[in-house]
Amino acid sequence: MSIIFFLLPATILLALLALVAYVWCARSGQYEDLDTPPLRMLTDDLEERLPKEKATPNH
Amino acid sequence: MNSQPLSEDLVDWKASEAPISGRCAHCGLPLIEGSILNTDGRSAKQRELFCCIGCETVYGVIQQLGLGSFYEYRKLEGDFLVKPAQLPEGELEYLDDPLLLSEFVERVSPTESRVLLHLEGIHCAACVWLIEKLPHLLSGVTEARVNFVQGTVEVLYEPSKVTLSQISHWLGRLGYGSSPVRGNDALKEERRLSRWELTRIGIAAVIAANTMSLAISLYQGWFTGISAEYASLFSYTSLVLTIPAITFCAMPFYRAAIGGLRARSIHIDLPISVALLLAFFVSSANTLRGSVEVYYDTITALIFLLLGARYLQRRALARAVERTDLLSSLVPLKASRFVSAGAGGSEQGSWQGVYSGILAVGDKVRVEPGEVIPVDGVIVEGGSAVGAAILTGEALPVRVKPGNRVFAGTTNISSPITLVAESTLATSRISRIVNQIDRGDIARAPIIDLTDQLSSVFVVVVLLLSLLCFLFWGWSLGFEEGFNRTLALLVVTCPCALGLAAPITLAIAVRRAARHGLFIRSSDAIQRIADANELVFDKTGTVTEGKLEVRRFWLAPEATKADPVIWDVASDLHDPGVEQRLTPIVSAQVEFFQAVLSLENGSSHPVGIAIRNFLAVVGERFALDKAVDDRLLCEPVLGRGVKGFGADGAVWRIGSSSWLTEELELCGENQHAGEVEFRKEESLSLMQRLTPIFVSRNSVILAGFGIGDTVRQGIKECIAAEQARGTGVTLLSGDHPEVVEAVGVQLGVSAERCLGGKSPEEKAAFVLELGRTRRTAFFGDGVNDALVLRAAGVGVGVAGGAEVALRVSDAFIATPSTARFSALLSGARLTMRAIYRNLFASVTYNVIGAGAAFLGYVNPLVAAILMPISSLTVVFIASFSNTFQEQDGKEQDGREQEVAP
Repeated sequence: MSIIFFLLPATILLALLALVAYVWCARSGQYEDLDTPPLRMLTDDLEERLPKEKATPNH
Repeated sequence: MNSQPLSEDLVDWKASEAPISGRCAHCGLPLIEGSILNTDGRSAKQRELFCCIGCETVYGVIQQLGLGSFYEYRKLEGDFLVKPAQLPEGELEYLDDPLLLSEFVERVSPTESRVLLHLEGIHCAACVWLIEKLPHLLSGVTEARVNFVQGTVEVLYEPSKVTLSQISHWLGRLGYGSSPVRGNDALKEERRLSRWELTRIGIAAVIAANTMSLAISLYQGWFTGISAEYASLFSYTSLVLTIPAITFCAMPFYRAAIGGLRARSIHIDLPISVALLLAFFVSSANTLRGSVEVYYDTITALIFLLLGARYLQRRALARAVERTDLLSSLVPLKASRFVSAGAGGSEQGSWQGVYSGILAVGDKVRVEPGEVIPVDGVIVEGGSAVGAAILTGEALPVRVKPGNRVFAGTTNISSPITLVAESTLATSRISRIVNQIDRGDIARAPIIDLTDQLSSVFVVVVLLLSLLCFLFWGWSLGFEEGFNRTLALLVVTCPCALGLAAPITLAIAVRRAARHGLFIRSSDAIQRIADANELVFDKTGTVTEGKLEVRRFWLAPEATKADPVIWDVASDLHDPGVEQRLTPIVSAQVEFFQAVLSLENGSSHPVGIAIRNFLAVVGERFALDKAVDDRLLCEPVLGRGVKGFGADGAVWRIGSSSWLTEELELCGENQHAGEVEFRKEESLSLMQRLTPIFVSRNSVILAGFGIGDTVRQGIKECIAAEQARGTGVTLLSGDHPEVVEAVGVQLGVSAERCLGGKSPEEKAAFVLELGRTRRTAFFGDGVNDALVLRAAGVGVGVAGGAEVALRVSDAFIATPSTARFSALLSGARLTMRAIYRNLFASVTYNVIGAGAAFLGYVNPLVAAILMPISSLTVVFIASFSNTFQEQDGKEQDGREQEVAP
């Protein structure tokens, strides 16, 4: 049972990693606009139809 | 550099879809004669039709850039209508003015800048995709992020490589109008706070989950036995884990509690903070002593639940609209300024588009019809009609001529004017009003929050009870038992459910309301709306549609060759008998209707538009030919009407009665017979508070229109229902007192409660005065209402008017139908009832918990079970309450009313 002395810190460390990832997401503003990203996903497959060479604007 | 041909199957699919050919390939509007055909060197199959040159250009640009998938995607989406493309008008160089850049653009690094642009015409996922392609199209743009709901795009760009005007130009080429939004400090602060809140919630969640799993082991240990070393491992770990939660995560509770104490009131966070801190200190003391009487799991779970509920409540409130910068939504960013070529104000020079912020007193500014006037000034050249509803609430445009003062924010309607600026943008009247609103100069009566009210009673009762508990059990069972029971009592009565009750109910109600087009923007708005016993309505645009309409139509004996015909349009609208009565008469007047239609065809004056709309209805009902007579030469006469010269030599006039009277007088005596009827009709029209407009042919009066603003359908019933509840209803308007009174009479509002001719400042003063004794709610839509919206106990903005109303109001009705007014009122009342129910439930729970703790039945395990159950009960009650749901039915009622009379 003394394995618990190792497992307990390990679980907390794992939770901490997840927390760090979450805090990074939150602080970079990923949860601010929850409505546009779902729309972006819908148009993902259009990317493949784009011409290979990038259009260079003559502006 | 032509577009990649579309894949074959898609072309076939498109070609087979016949009905599409009748629509514009870009915006999807049905095509009319004179549409533009674009072959563009592509196969015949791919020929596309367009409704206008703008759409054609945008289509060409999109195809040329290889972004044609935009249209494919849109077809998959069901091909709903887009607004016809608006090509960027004129030069955009004004966007590169250094002053404008310093106000609107934020430097994020030495090489990069960020700007927020408000977009027009964004409507679906394909638009998001297209706009976010901007970095591919324009070198120098690093990133473009669209916020679909707010209709904005945040552009990150390198000012050394690309200018703001180029970005705006490119967005325009893609078919989206754009205007920069001023760097908003409040928005940044909001964003910062929201990120901190999310961080707190995340940390609290992780801690709560971990302490809970540790606590389960401890509880298990009670039943099966647990060795002391494990018990202390779990306790100490929990203790360490709880420290960030009780310090960092719970900080907002302490702040609110102290803030409440400073304001000499007891905020709900005070008992929460006390209970949390006490439980924490006693638990840590017990841990150090080696006892397992610890509450870490309860503490952390409570912190997480409360933070989460409050975040949801805040998030539900439609704060986002604050993002819109108030002043630039009212006054155009671009002004046309005269720059003299020679020195010393010579007459030679040219007009230049500049940023309106740099206009100085004395500058000559030109305003084209349809444009908004950028500064206060005096007209030096040209006469026009100016729509000043934004400041006065008056629906009819005001006639202006050289020498008259005009104000920033009002709209020039009929012809170009030149004015000399008397103010800068910052010192204009509209900007003073905006500043007053922004600074929140008008303070409103504070509202006593129900939860806080309850919590002050609560604190006293709990403190007395715990004292009693400690004394009674300490004396009878000894200090240890007395202390434990008192602690259990304090923890179990932590008003967590009480703290959750209002936020959760509100968050759910606000979300539901938003689904029905009612946006609640401040947390106390619902209570204020539910409590209001004095409703004040703005007239134009709120109880009325806010647009002019022909209400009365009169055909003179000269036209009918018999008795005059009077058609009361509003009341006869659905009377089938009218058709029978009028059809023979109307069909005898084909020439007349065609002439009037031709005369008003190009008019942008609201009266002209009203007459045109009326003729369209008449044409529809009596199957008249809607063709316009091109041979009729029209000549607008400023402030009076339109004059027309027919091919047969006839002279037509359509305009105000005073103008036609002058014309009649010129013609001499042979018109007397007609004049009696004309005068009679004029006075009848005026009696109905309508503006009389007459039509003459060769100085013979043929017909008249009575023009007025229409009252919204169902508003009368809504007002009657409120009056029946004992709520006072007042009409408050900047329009002429007689007009306001006429509308009031129609709605059953007594004459002394119809107040007209009020300036924005006077309206605010009136509502403030009323608010001294009554709880007021104000419904309004214009800029002239902005001050009042703030002054009233609660301000409800109505869509269709100025964006400013949306920004300053506490609640906002997005689709102004009367059903929504009543839905908002009844929804708010139902929500308050749900909150009462919820508060009652949480108090009941606390009473039971306190009783159990008093009798010694509560230990950490019982508390850990009871706490979440009570909180869940509250969430359950909130989500199953009927707030803002009944209106589904009501909405349908509203629709039915619109269809059937």
